[in-house]
Amino acid sequence: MEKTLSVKGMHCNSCRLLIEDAVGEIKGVEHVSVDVGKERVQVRFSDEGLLPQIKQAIEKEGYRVE
Amino acid sequence: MSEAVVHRLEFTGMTCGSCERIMERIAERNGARVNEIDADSGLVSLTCAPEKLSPILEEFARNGFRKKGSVEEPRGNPRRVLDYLGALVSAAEHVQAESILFNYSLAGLMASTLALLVSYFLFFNGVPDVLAYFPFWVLAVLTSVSSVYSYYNAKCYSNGISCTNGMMVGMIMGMIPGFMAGAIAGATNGMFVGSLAGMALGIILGVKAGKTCGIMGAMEGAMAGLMAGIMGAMTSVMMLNDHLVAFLFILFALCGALLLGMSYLLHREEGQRDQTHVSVGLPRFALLCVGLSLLLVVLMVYGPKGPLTFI
Repeated sequence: MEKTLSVKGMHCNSCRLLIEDAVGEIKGVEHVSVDVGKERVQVRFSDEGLLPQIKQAIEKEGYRVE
Repeated sequence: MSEAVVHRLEFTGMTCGSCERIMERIAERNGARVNEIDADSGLVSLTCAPEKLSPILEEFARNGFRKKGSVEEPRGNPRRVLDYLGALVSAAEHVQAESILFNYSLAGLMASTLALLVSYFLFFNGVPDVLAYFPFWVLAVLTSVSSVYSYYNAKCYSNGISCTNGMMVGMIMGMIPGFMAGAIAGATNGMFVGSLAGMALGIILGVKAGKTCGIMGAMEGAMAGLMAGIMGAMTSVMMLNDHLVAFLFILFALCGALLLGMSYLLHREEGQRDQTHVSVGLPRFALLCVGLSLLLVVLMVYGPKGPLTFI
């Protein structure tokens, strides 16, 4: 399944890399795409139960998921 | 494997805490320990075996952090700018987005010229001394096409642009179009209308282009637009009796060069990422060029006139 998350606090390419890195490491995540300008993170993953883990990984990096 | 040693290096491209964190992550993933890292100075101290350093530096470089003194990308060589321009005109693969926009600009130029010709015969023909506006109409078309090209060129790289480059883009997009619009409107309508027109275009484009890197970029763009609009109008009013038209053409050529410089900067600093794509189609691009050109021309001809104007 695919989900687009609204993420606040990103401002540069390094923020994009951090989130891609953190979310990409989660087993079951197939694809992650970050749009810093639009404050969006698009994630494709295999199991709906992964969503809280994905949100937690983003928040652990210091960004706010709305 | 040889013994781990401390490497103290200086990097370009680090702008914030996020940069520090991603560099730490890359280093640790490649078997190094980060002792010290500081984005302000660009200094990084890490401990690893010498043979592990090269892959770490390569991954740093892929993500925009280059070791100072690296020879693979010599800076300040004018030939690289000429090569870039040549690639743009010949639609080389590595400048595909810019080449598409360049072709759009030619179409925008033709569409704007056609629109102004039609408007002349339909609406402006009866206006006294209308042909005296002709040089400013040319400048209006150049202003609109170059502004629209530059805006969408900047947008190609907006996703994940570094703070430094984002602020530079905001400043350039606020200053140059704002100055050009202010100069044209100031020459034909006076200081008050010229300043307002220049500030409006400069602030709108500066904020829209600069906000890609957050509030800093947006503020940079807004301030640049504010100053440039007033400066453009002031320049024209001050030079009303001193070869104004000739000076404006020289000035606009320099402004065009600066906008091309921004295009080169984006390609040079941000181009290594696989995120370049054109976010606008030809019809919309051409429509924006025509719309902006007509707006400036209508303002010139029908707008309120101040006490000091060229015509």
